[in-house]
Amino acid sequence: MTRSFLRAWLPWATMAVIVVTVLVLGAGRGGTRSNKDRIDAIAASVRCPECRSETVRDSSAPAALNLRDFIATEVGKGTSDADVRAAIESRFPGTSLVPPSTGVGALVWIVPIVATVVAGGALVFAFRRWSRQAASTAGPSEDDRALVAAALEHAGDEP
Amino acid sequence: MAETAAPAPAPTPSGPARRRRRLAPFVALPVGLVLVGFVVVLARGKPAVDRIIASPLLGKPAPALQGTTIDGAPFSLANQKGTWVVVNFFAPWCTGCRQEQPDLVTFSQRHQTARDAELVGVIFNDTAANVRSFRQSEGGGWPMVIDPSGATAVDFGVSALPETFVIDPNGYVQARFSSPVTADGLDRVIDDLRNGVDPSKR
Repeated sequence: MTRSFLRAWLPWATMAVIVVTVLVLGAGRGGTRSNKDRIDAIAASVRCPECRSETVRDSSAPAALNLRDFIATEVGKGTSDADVRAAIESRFPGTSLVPPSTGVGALVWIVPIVATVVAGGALVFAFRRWSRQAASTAGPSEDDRALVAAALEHAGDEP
Repeated sequence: MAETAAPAPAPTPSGPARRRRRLAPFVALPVGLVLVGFVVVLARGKPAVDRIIASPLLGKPAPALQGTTIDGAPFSLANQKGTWVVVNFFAPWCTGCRQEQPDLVTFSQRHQTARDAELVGVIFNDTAANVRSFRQSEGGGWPMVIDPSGATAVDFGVSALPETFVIDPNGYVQARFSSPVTADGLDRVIDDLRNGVDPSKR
């Protein structure tokens, strides 16, 4: 493994390690959330059915209080977040603030992933091009060297 | 003695200013009339009652409704099968609930003898003591069920008070009101449903 190869790929490898570590840590957080965290997260993703301009977590409307109790009961029973949200949506249609994973709403999830992949590809392409350009202009050409040699020769002739 | 200078004559308005001044009453008058019209319409308008709205529960079995009444008696909606049941979510602090209470009393009295329709109240975010005091002043002899955690209200999808559901004799939800109800309005809806007419299409 040459030194230049290492120098070219070391930043990429470092970045990959950081990204994977962050993703693993981020994904692992979900598993250790407390029930209170879950209740807050679900309540924050449901629009108050009475006042509608606030989430169930933030609203003090009676309907929101009832829903907070309902969420706490369901979380206590071990119901999954998705099932609690689905149960609320079935009783209070249109209150979910989580974009749907199907239909046009799915674009909210798909577009960022596609954009990330395209941006990453574009970066790789650009870096390669720049490194090729840098390699092609790395040192003086043969013509340049000949010119300099001739100039030096002439300089030696002068008194 | 110095003479006081005569006051300068008021400048006469130029052409465009004169035109604006002449135009102002013609603009202000219609605006004023429209505003007065709004006030008259709002003042004469009757509050919305008997408003029927959609519900995901329509045509489905009614959610379980069981608990204890403010008198300490057990109550279960399942035991009411075979008769029309009007489930009214209410609270003493709710203005619309106070407004509809006399009509609920009338409705209850109308069906007391025939027992062809029952009324049940579900307390929404209030205490049994407050409701007992409310019943004493406003009337109402039907069961009023305590819903301490609001679970029944969530099961029925109650968003704001007052809300009333009509359950058919087989236990299926057939209508939902999201406003104060009237005795006549409830009877009309039950009659429609008995005759196979969709009450929301009226």
